[in-house]
Amino acid sequence: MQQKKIILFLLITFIASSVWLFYVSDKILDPNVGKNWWSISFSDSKSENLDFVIENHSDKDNFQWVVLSGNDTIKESDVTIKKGEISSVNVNFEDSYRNKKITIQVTSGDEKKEIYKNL
Amino acid sequence: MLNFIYSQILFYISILVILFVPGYFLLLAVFGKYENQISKLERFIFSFGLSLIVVDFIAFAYSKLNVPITALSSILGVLFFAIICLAFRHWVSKKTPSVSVGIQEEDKLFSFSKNQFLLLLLLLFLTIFIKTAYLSGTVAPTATDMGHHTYWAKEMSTTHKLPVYEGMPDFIIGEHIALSEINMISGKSFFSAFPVIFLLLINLLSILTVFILTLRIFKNKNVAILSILFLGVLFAVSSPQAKFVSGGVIGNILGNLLMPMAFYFYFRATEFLNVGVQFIEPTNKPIGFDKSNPYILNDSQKFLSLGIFSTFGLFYTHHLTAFIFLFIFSLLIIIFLALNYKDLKNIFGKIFDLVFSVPVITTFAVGLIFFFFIFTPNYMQTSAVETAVGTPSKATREGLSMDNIKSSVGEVRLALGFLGLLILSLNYKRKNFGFTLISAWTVMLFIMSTKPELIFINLPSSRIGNYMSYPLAILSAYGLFSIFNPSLVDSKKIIPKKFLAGSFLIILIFVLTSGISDSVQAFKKAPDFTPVIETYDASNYLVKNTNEEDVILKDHNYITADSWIKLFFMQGYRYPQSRGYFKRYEDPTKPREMCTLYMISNPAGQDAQDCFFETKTNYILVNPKFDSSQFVKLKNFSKVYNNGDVAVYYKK
Repeated sequence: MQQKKIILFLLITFIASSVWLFYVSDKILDPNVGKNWWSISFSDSKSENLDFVIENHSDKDNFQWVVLSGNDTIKESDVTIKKGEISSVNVNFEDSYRNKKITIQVTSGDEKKEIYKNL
Repeated sequence: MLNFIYSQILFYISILVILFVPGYFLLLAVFGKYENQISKLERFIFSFGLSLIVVDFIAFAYSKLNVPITALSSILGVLFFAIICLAFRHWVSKKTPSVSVGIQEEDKLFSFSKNQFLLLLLLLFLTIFIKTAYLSGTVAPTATDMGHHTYWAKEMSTTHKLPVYEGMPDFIIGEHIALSEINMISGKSFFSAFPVIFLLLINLLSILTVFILTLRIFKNKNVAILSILFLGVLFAVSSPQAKFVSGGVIGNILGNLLMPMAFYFYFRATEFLNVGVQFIEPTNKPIGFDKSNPYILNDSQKFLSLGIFSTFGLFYTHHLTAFIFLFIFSLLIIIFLALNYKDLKNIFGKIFDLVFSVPVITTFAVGLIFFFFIFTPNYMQTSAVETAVGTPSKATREGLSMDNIKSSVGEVRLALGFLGLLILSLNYKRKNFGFTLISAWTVMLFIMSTKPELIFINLPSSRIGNYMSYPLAILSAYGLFSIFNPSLVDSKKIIPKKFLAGSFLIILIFVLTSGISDSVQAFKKAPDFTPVIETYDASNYLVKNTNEEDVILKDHNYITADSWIKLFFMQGYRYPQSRGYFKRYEDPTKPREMCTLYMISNPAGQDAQDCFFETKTNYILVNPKFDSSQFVKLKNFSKVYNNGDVAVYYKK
């Protein structure tokens, strides 16, 4: 009888432990829970397409973006993106961009990130 | 919520099918349901360890027969095996009616007093609680080794074939079969807690196996319970315990279950050599074997068969543990025969009856057929064995100092362990195979880890040193119990009772503070997992933006959880390419390719240009905080993704 009790005790504690660990890992792997980050990326990494995406997993929701050709501003705007959401921005390609470095700068609060394409 | 519950149920069913049912039915076939050679607790614990080996053998058979290894075929294989075991048991029962052997002894050995029972449950609870607390902060799929191992398990799950490891001897098939089959049946992603929980279960079972082994060898419940304190509760976090679990050191974790399990079966097989030997419990009640029992040899043959089966399982699972096992076993045999040299004729006669029997020869033959004709471990086909033997080739292989050993196994376990060994040698019962086993286990590991040149071992000494915690935990338990054994001390009146109580209290405080301080790590605040998620996000971006013609290079130095990136692509173990630790490019004993270093560190250099041409690398994944300035001015590179901790560069 004691042995059965030990086995039962082991099963219960192991299951309780594993359920807890699954719960914790689900939270860890959720990009929006307890984390504060955002990313920018080109929609198409290879082509001359300059459309880009801002993906927000931070507590901030105001983003300012600017498209630069060298040091010249081509286009800029503000966008509101809630936590867990993605915003796509279209940037039309023009012939004058050819052989230039087109930079996308995105600022949110005091954090600034950039991506660029050498066309 | 419903999804969570459903996936949980499926996970436990898969654990039951893969890790319990095969071993349970194997034990049923061997011992029958009503035979008492092994207790219920032993049946429960060893069902898991034996299942790990049975599912390996089923997978090997499938591989030889070109049967795809899927969730369904895995379940059917287990069911088929269970039916064969039942049929075998039915046939044996008809031939020879089952006999309840040693019921009284089993009842005595496994019936605990109320205090012992409560202490046992408390220690088991603390063991699981401390480990769970530590793993709560480390359960995320980030560890490098875990990433490497889960890649192979995932490859098996996706190709439905046994992995061939691209010729690498460091990965062994037994490390991945159960993991893959649980993944296929439960559907649980490798990017979850499931690999860590799998290893936690194996780790807990290894502690329980040591508990059972200690109980059987010393026939003393207090010593056995104390072994859980020294192995499970104290130093519950440090290597090779919870840190190895979260780190994905699969081979060691499995080896630390299979080796004590094999030792257990070998010990039980030799019990018939001990006929007539009695052991004294604190109550002074003798516990021994019935000389007139005709079934002891028969049982020993069964235990030896299971020991051989476990040994084959060990060789299919972890070469380092198997290698260590061979050395320990050799020393064990030498010491045992040397101590019993006057009785060699009798012992060899008994061993002859034991070995040359149908179950033992059959198990050995089946194991050999599988090993050499059905599925041979990849390390047997490479130079892995040769590189493990010889003069130590590096400073890390020249042996540990006593300070190293102390920090590896813990000061208290080292001190009490060697005290236990001393007391054991004073109380030596030369015919007790268990005493010799514990001594050989400790002494051989000590020699292998401190003076490897004496036995021509060329392996990392710290890795061997980690194994010492297992026998030292047993000896610590024995040592602590022996010093304060009231029945011995009181009867001889050697030491005054008050002095004894005070000393016990001081030693107990030393033991607990020293051993539990290690567990403080378990309750530290969990780290920020943002960089891990950022690595996964960058990997997902690359999966969407690349095809099979693209070639990716990533950095191992500054990107968190980078070894998991390959699981997003599943295009080979070495894909994406990786810039390894800088020191590895400078190691004169191991010249290696330099392209992975050049292409990230100096992409504008001529060497890097040659490498880009040669390898066709066109995507680079780095941490922009450390590696971005070298790309900024290059006109053929575009920065196409950035999350602050990981950036992706595309080369035109």
